[in-house]
Amino acid sequence: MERKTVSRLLDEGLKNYSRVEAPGVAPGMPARPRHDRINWWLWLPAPVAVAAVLTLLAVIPRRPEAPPPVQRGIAGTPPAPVFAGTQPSRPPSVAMRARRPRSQAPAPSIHVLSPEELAGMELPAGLFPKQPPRPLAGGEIVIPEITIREVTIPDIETRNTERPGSATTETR
Amino acid sequence: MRMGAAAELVIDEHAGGPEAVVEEHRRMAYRIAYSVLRNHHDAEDAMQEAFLRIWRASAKLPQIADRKAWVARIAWNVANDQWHKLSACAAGVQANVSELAGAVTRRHDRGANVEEVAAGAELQRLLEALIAGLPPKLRDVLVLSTVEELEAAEIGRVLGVSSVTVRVRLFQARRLLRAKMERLLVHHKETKAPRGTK
Repeated sequence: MERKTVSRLLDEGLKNYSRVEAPGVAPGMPARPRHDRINWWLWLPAPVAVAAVLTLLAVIPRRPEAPPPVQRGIAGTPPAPVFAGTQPSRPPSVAMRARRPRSQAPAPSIHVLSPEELAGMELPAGLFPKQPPRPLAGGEIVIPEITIREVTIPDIETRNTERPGSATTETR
Repeated sequence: MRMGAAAELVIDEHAGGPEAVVEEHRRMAYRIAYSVLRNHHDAEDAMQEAFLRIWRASAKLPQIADRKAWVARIAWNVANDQWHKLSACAAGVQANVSELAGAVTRRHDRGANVEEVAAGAELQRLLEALIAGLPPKLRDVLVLSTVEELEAAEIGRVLGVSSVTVRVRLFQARRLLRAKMERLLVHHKETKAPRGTK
């Protein structure tokens, strides 16, 4: 390298000596505020975390509704079904709940029978009148949808005189 | 008229406060700090410290005639203090002058012109190393002379010397620096040249 070139390098180098090191920045002034320059990446996880929480809230299933009131029947017999038109049974009394064995399985929930299921069921005659299919004018048979609900069977010690013919009226 | 004079007085007092001084000389203070510390973040820290000192000394502001030189002196002192602290922390870290000179020469040999070589990081680091090796009196004058906003008289007020002394020291500093660079760059070129060409 020639001496003249070295002299020019010195002059030009000293001109740039006090300039800022970042290119494209006005001499003597910082490019951006320091917090913006250094800490911007710290805010990156924030939207990711918010999105993750929202996704979890959408994915997690809702808490199931409270089960229907506990049904009780005679020991050894399944709970008697109740069909459409009946009122929801009242919750069992405190005394009944106290006598309920802990090992008893939870009562089945309400199940709405489809017309096909209903047509194939054998129902006790006289107690739960089965509505026969009503033919329409065009010959099409419409089976009404019947909701089967479960009711609380009175305690075995009490006599159910309101339901003649019911199995629960028998006293042990 | 009296109301206007009062309003002007209020405006002058507000304009001459520390905020106005800081706003007016922020650029120069940063450049002074950067010329000493050679690092953007350190220069910003030094500038903040300098303005804090200016704020604390704002009661003396009306008595100060040359505020520019006053701000420059504060920035210079703060930057030097910080440089001594950083130098103590980074003791033993020395730039290899020969390697830097070799990098500058190689860049020039690849066809880069003088401006491109001068804008490169290699030459800046080489200059930093060579300026750091100058005697302190010459180094201070040379470093302050690289700040565009400062004239020789203002450098003299910052350093407490006359403007003539500043010019003399600046001339000596540049001559010494040029000699060092020639020894490195020209010598490096000659040693790299094949023997048959001499």
